[in-house]
Amino acid sequence: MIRILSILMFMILCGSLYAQEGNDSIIVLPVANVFDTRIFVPEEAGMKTTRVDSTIMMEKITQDLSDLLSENTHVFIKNYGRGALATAAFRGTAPSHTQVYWNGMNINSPMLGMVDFSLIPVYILDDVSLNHGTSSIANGSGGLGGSINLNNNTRWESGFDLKFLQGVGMYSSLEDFLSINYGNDNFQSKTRIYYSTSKNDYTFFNKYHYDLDPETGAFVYPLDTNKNADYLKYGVLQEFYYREKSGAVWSLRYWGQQSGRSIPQVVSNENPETERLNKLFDDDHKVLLNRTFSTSKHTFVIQSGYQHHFINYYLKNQIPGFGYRDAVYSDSRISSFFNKMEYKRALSNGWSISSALSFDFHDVSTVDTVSKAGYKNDRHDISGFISVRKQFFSRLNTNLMVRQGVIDGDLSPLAPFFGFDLLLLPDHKVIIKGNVARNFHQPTLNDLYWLPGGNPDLRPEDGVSGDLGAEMLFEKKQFKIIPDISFFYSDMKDWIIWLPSFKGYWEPMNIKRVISKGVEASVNVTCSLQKVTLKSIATYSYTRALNYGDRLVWGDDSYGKQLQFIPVHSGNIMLSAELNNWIIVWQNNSYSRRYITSSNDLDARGSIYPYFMNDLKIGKEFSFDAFDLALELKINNLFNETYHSVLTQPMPGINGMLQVMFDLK
Amino acid sequence: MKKKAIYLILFLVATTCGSCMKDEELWQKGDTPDIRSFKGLFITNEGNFMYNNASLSYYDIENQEVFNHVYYNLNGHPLGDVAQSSVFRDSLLYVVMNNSGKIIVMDANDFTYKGKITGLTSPRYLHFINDEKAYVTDLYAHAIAIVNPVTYEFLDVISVHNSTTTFNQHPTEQMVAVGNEVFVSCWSFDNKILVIDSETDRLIDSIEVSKQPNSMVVDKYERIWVLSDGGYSGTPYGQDSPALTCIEPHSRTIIRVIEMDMNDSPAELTINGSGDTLYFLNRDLYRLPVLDDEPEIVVESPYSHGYLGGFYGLGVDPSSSEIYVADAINYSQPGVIYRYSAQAMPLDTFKVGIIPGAFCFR
Repeated sequence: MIRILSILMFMILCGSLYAQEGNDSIIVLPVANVFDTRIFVPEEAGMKTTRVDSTIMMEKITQDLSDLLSENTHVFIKNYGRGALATAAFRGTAPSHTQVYWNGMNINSPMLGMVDFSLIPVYILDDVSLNHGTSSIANGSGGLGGSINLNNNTRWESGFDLKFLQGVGMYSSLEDFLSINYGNDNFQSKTRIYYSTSKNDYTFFNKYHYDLDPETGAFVYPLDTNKNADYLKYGVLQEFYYREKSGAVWSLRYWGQQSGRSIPQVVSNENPETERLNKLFDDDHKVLLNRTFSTSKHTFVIQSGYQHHFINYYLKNQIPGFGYRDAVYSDSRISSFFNKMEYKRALSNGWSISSALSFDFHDVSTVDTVSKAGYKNDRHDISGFISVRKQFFSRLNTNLMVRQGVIDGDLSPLAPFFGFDLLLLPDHKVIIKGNVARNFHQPTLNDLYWLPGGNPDLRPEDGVSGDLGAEMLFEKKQFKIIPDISFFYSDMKDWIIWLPSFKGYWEPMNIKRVISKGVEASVNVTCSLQKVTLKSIATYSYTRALNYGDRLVWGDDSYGKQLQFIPVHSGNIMLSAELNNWIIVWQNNSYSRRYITSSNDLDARGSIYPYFMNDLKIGKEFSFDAFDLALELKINNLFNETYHSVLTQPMPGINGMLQVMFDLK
Repeated sequence: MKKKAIYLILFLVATTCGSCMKDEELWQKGDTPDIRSFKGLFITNEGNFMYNNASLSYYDIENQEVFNHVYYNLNGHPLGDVAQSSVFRDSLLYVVMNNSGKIIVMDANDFTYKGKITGLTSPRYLHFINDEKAYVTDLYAHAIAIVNPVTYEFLDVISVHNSTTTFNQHPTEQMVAVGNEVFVSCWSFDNKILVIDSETDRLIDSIEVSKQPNSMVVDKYERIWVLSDGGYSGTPYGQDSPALTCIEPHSRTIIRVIEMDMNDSPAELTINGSGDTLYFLNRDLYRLPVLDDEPEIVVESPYSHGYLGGFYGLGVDPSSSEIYVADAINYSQPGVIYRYSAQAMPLDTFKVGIIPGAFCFR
């Protein structure tokens, strides 16, 4: 049924190419060239929303989204090593509780529920924003931690534009980015091509390969190389925009990417690197067609998308006399259709309404050719959304949102949201905002059908939450400061966790109750002192994500304890200074101690020490008649810290990358 | 003004964070265990896969004292990743580190590091043939490694590659010896007991049993008991009835099979010191005198919920027949050991490391 609906949606969308609409004003897509000044916006009443500053987007342009999120937002990223898997923990929740939308299309894996942020280059994004907690209901369900919105847009500039950026760094790292834009008032073509690779072969003293010095009897360690950790990623993002005479805007986007990563063996393994081959390949294609028609009172959006994602993972061992033999060889194919219609209308007396209806279909097949185990299944996901907003006396915005889902014909629980923004001091835009809401997260297809272990009886994870906070905008001459603070509380039941069953394999169960509460604060400051422009963006999060699941036996010490790997304190700060085309940017990212055990043991095996990382970038722009040229030197791990990732993977010491950007005028 | 701004930035950079991370914390020695009795029990705690947090605990049986992280505390270095099993011989303890591909050798009296045997793919168990030769089974190598436990040298391999199937066979697991023949169970997606001639180091025969034989013991009548979990329901490899199979080793014939319910998943077959009573886990703790037909529940699992496996490891003291049951709880915190008398009366309970899986008595 959903397949038919998907095809119908496509046909409707294609048919409306020829439809004529009223000649009203066009919608202007927001651009990411200012930081969070969108406060007291009726559409976002009660919602905790953060937009990533354009300075940060530029500073991280050659990096992955995992770096940007961990170093510049409240999102904690669990990183398994340089270039390796990176998953999000938003407000102390699980990776699958952060929903990610690319131009409105959900890109969380229907198999695993999560997104690997190391596979998303910042270069292809124009705008990144975060909806914290259940504010994510505005985008879709499932975001118990929140949602991350990755958007592309165009500025309708006429002419031809070409940019090329190359970064050359240590460990045989190479980053190439090319963008070609062409357009006029009614048509825009934007092409972005990228190629990123690294041998990732940094050296370190491997204290896990210890042995005794035959002469002194003391422990000695070899200088080791990070082996089998290379990565390669390349892709293209092509966008077409067309503006009708009616003002309606069409967009067609294609994002294709292939990546291959070697997965290093655990650092204590002393076998030669040729003994074991462990690799992960991704081949991902997304296409998205959108039509947006907007007048002063109405906005109508219709969108249809398709994604095909192929994942190959293998582990091969060298068998004496027989060469490499597969221990695991797994192929997974995911095909998804996305269709959505949205309608927004401004009514009289401060009222406005929004509604949306989406039909998504996911088809998954996965098999391991060694054990021959796997599954093939699909999911039909229908979601309806309505929002009613009212502004009172130009001082109070209220927002009631309700989302209702139907999964495979079964009605999901209702997800309501009520929020408000109260403008206290109009001059300085001091705003009090808050919300209460309920949200759900459906089990993933792996949770339900993985063989062996999948549990088709799982219930959705169920969260009730509330936010209360304040935002302010203060401007005086050359000085601007935007502080904000919010307190959050979330009670999540039926949290799904995989545990070994007595049959020996792992099995997901609804057993945990987690209460996540804390504070998120940030401050953005811009200051111009004659020719020097200073900017500082800092965030701080206090997160208590506590397990209140069933106590198992008397020895279970995990009850009431902080979830594993979630830091209680986390923060980051970026300072930049610009002067005469010079720029210097300092970035610090810090976490408090993280627990490895669910019982929060403080010993060296049960927790990992606090994390403090400093990076520095120095750049200079040169302007010529025909082109601009920018040179940048980026230094990572400025103080050459010796440290390990959370899973004891040694990380690189001080390292650098030289970047050159060429911009044709 | 320009200079002031630059000085301000440099000041902030310099003062905010210098070299702050305390990586040396990972390599600190701890308290040296004050062991008063050498009648003890080594407990290998697997730790979490890829976390390098395996550990060794020592339980002083006479004084009922437990010492955790004994190896790490003394040497200031971790064992590695996934401690699968251990063997005590001639004052040395050999700990098989599965995902580190090596065997750590230490002094069993004070836990000081002695050496390591490397070059192993995914080692599971170590079995001594004599003082200078031992076999090491392996999950992925399709071979049994021959090592010298004195010089720590990797000597050779006995190939057990099965080219007629794609199920990664043979993944070798536990070993028992009768005479010069070593019987090797092949657990993961397999159903064979391989027979190795330990004089020629050659594979000479195999015996088919119920799917996934995970553990083996030899009883007082020199018969081999094999416990199979039967495999997993719904998988392409298929499922057999979980079963206890008794093999007469000289003729290599199956003389008895005790089948269990298809929903059972028995593991950790162990035998008491006199070789007349079998113990195994199947959610609860079961006992079977070798001449009886019906296993009986000795200790019920404390888990009232259906979602956890409960007991994870099992050991029976060869001198006292006291029973030790390991409970991994939620597999991400220090586990618990329950000690029972031979009559299954509770004697002691103590905490050890993460995922306690195997016992080794001294």
